[in-house]
Amino acid sequence: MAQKSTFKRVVFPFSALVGQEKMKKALILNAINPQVGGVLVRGEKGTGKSTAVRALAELLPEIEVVRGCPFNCNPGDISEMCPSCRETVLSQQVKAGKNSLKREKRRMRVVDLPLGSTEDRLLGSLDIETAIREGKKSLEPGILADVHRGILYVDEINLLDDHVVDILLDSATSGVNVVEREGISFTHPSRFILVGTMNPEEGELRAQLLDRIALHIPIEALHDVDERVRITLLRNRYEKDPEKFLQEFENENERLRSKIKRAQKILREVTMSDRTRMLICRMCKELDVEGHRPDIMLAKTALTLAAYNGRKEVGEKEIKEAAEFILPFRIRKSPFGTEEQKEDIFDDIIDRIADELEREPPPPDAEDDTEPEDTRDAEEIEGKVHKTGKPVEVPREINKRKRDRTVRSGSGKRMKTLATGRKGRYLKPKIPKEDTSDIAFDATVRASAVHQKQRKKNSRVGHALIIKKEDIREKVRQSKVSTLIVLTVDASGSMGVMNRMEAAKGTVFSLLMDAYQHRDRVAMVAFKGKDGHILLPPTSGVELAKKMLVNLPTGGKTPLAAGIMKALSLIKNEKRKDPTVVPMLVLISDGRSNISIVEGADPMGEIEKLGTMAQEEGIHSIVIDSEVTKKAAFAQFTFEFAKDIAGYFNAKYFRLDKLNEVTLGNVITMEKNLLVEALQGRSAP
Amino acid sequence: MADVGSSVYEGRVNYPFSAIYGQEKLKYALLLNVVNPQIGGALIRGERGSAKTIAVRGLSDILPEIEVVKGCRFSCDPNNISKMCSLCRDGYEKGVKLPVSRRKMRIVELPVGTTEDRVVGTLNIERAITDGVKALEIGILAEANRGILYVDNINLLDDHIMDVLLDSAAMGVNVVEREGVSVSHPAGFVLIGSMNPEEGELRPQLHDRLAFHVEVKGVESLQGRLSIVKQAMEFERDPLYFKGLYEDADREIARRILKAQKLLPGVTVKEDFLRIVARMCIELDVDGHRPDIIITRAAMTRAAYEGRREVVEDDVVFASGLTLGFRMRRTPFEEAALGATKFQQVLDHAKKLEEEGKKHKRKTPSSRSKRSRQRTGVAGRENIS
Repeated sequence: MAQKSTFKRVVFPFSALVGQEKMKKALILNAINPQVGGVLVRGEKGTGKSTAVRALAELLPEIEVVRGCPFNCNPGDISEMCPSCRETVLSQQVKAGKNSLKREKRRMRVVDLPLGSTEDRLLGSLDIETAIREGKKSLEPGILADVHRGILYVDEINLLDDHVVDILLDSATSGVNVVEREGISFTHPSRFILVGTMNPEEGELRAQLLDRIALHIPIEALHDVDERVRITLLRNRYEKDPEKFLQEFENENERLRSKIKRAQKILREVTMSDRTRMLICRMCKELDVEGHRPDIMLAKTALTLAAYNGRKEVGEKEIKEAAEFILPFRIRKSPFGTEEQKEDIFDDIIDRIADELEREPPPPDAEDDTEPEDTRDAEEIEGKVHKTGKPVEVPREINKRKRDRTVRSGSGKRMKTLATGRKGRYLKPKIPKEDTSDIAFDATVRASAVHQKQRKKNSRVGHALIIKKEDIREKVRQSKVSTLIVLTVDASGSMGVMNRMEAAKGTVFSLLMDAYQHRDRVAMVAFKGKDGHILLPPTSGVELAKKMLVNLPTGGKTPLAAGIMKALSLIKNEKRKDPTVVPMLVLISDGRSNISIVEGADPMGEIEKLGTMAQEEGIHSIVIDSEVTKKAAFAQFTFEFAKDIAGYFNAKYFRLDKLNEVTLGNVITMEKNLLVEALQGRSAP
Repeated sequence: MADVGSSVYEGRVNYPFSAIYGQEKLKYALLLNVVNPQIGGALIRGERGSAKTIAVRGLSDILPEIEVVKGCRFSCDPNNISKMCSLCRDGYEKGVKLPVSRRKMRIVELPVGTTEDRVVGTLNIERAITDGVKALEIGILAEANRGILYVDNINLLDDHIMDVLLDSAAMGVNVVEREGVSVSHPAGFVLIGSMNPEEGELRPQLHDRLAFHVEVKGVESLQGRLSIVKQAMEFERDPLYFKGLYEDADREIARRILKAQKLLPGVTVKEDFLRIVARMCIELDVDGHRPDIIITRAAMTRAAYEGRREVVEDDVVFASGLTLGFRMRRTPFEEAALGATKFQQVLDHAKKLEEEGKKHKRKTPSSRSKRSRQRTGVAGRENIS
């Protein structure tokens, strides 16, 4: 086997973690019963998410494995074995009538999946060493083999490449990893507990993956002085002398370990009555959760909880607790629903259903008491603060064409247009169509490896490795390429009237909702007073945007030129970071610029220059005129300053009073899609 | 392939650290990180030409020497088994005496255009071709182990490289799972980033991972500007001569660092201070627990650097200024962060609350924390602003 060196790190002991009981319990439940189905810990930075998961490794129970089997086969279960173990068992059964695989016990493992992993390491690939030396094809097992019957830990799971997520989902669903590459065809079992941690500010997790992980734990910092002090003290002591610190907490860890062991024993005997099952199903139905997975997860978690509590029968208490772990994130109707007041609704629902089951008449129609209330806490900071308009649903038809692109595919449209230059993450190798300079050496060597024996025979010069042209492989790279929509919003006094700011904010949210699905990014620049400010740096993170946008006051003059300049420089920066980004500038203003960048200059003149600049940079722009039609004595009249601006930018022009929130979002999405399509048409002949 | 790892700065003549005019806060932030690498790095924000890069590079001449295992690619510490690479650890556990050599702590620079394979490490092509062996070609993260990793313009770094950086900076480990190589090795480093906020903001996640946030500005006084120009010209005319002038001063700083490092393990901090720190963090509504830990660490390190064995209030104020500045939740249009002087007020306020809390404790020990929190929620904000 290949060189494999793992650096043994000292981790902070599990029992020394202060607070965060829910997270700890969720992790332990998974240690007791791998069928619980994984944990997702989501929460703010610096709350011990990663520390807890890494610490869990020390508590995991022992499992029995076939000695020397790289796939961690279970010697007692022939239905899930790698081909070689199964063969051994079958041949022995014929001879002696019993299986005599060499067994050994070792602790369940936590395997890390780092963000930059390439496909070959995840799936496994051709073993170069045996290929070169013996000319034989054999599999070098990947992470999916290592992790069989263990825990797969992904830190920042929301940042994982789509491509890697696809592979993960595939084997998480089937419990099997099928390797079909480089002339190898191999299937081995791969069943694992997926544990992820994430900070929602960085963007959301894909819905499929979200659904697949059973327990969702929100986490936030502790607010108790005593507890915080204890954290600091413990951390200081740990850092001074880690080894000694570990010993101190060893007893406590041991106690947890035996508790887990005990629970595992009881687990086999825990039963669940039909009535309890009914309770679960009814609750899930009433709460309108998606699919049947939650029901099953609830049942399994409740069983494990009962074992943890040392009980042999699942009661309502366990169901309640399990519901809190599993349901809160599954009943939200939109990704932006308020998360408050979901905590105790389970208690009520369960009590009620239990009562109903007691009496046993057919259940009355479920009244919907989960409607989230409009909880807005508008703080007055400066000037007038507008509430955020309701997020707008972007119509399905518009998205349809685009949505196909995100469907899992290794070589879909997305890749073709997006793998440019030598930038981005190396995902996998491919056979190049023409000469390439971005050679994937690992794959090239692998491709040539099997032929070495033959080639060396025919060659007179003693090359170490003979690589022919047909062996050359090229790197397929993926960099996150997305459209970048920069909303440049007038926050001057004139925007305060007629809910215009509200409409603008609502638009940003509906765009973000769209971006959230398509990995696009949205930025927002507001201008008022003297200068433009970047309110929202380019992001697809919804929570962050929410935080930043709630308090946007209006008032003051209109430094339109300065605002546009800020937006342009922001786009330029993004382009410097990633030249493939597709920028779009959306200007929402009434166009009455009354302050110039250079003092005394003509504001409109400046804007004209900026317009030329934007066109030179190839930035697509839209101008949305927020001017309100004045009703004068005889006729309605408008100034339409913004129309001139649209002219400078060669931009599409819309009037806000003719659009409502909904169509504003639509207009932008539509424009974006047109733009993307045009670009794709150009670069993918 | 030996010359690939040339991002280590040796042999270049740097502007002497002690010759940098002003920017005391910046210098202090850097020095504290050198004394105690566990503090967790620094982010330097500021306009162009305000000595950000010069200060970081200047560090290389005053950095202390460290003991490393001779020949180890990861510069393992021969005395610390918990942070050894697998090779050194194997040797240590078998009772082999690890060969020791001494060298200066390093500054490794990460250019913005770096590719991921250079950062993380990749398949060693040479060995793969000649010997058919899969070996790791170490990346910048390995070189930076036990040293300083400096990223200029950190806000322009590619997202995916940033993710990798964060991962190792947080855990002190680099896990390589790519191109057929599967290795993990120690990668504990002091991450120092500098940026010009005009060119775009940093992701909040990274903000949090860098312990100190230092805002630098050009020197305001005319006299100061004059002497900066003079010194810069002198340095350019004859760098070696200029360096010679400041050699003693630099050496003095180096000595002070060593002394502080010796003193540090013995520095104590009163629990009262910890309580006050915790209160401040709660009052200012910062994310997570990392700030508490950083402030305590930094205050202890400052005490050591000042030659004291005990943390005093001044240390806490200073450390909070460096740590909390950009962590407080801000709203748009609110200018930057609280000034350093305000932290004294915040601390005084926290102290007052603490005393009240204590009084309360004697009466009703159980409901104390919850009640005082409610009370301070309103009063706290008012007092600060």
